[in-house]
Amino acid sequence: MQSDHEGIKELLPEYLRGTLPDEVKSEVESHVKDCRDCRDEVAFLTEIVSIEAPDPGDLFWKTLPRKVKLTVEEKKLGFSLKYLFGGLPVAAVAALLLLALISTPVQRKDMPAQVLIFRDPLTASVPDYGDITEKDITRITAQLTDEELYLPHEDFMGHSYYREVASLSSKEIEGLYEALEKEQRAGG
Amino acid sequence: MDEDLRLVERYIAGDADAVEDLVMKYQRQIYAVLYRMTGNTEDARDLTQTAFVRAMEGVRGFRGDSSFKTWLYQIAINAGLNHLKQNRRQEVELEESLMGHHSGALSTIIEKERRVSIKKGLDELPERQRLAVILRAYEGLSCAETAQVMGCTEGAVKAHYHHAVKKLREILKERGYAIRP
Repeated sequence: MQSDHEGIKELLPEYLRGTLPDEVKSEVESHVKDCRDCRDEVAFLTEIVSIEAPDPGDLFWKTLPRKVKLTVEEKKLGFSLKYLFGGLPVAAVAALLLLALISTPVQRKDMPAQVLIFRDPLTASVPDYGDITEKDITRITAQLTDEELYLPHEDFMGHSYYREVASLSSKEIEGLYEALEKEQRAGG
Repeated sequence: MDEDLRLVERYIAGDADAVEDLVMKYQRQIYAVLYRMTGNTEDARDLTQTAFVRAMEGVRGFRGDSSFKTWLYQIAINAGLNHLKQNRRQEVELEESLMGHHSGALSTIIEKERRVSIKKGLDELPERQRLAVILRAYEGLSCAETAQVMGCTEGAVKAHYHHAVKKLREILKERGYAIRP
């Protein structure tokens, strides 16, 4: 119970906003009726509270909750990345992310797993030739015909650089080597 | 358990939608406080968003010693004060909106001018006195809540509020506007 004048005066803002319980409200009203000072205070408060903040519009009220939520989530994600890559320069972080992205195998439903291994250059396994012996190489070479050895290197006109180089003499090969070295030195 | 605390706990537990519920509940009050502090709708809109984002970022530090509402007001008022320190500008928007349309009855014009004077008088008050009036008179916060928001004692709030009202009355009287009882 707020029976003293100062106590009632303290309650006037809440009284004007209508947030007081009924019992306290009637007590305030009966005091204000007989108290000039409190009546002045009510008049003053009513006057200044009449200045309302302009409404920014429905769009603002409707979009703000979502905007806040998204900003908070975005910042949280930014913080996690900063925590993970805090000591690295931006370029290194970008390179790591790019590497992670391209090295993640994406398996298509219509493609068998084995095919994926050979299509993906970063994850392709190198065939193991460890168990092939000299004897095997001789046997395999003997089985290959001249055509099988050279034809795959032909261009669409039927011209084979392999065959052409093979036909050069040792002097010609030496000359070609020197010419190539000269061109390399010149930056060609 | 308090509804705000439940929403805070939901958010901490990973339910991001709780943010939207909290913003929806307090956005109008926070916007109004920030508008009264800055006198500019655009600044008030931006600061409202800033205040909520800061609150949600730091919500894990909210211990529940005070209510979520007073804690949120504290953050909003700090955001408002920082903004005012960095960007002191002439608050002409309200004046323009109130004085801009001089059509209508003479009584309406006088009433508008009167409001402009009150607003100007409020702006002339020292910062803490102005805050005490904004929180007590406009927001209807109790003395205890205002003290928590302003980070001072209830006695200090009463003193700020008392001086503010006295000064405001004097300012208005000087300009020929006596408060009608």
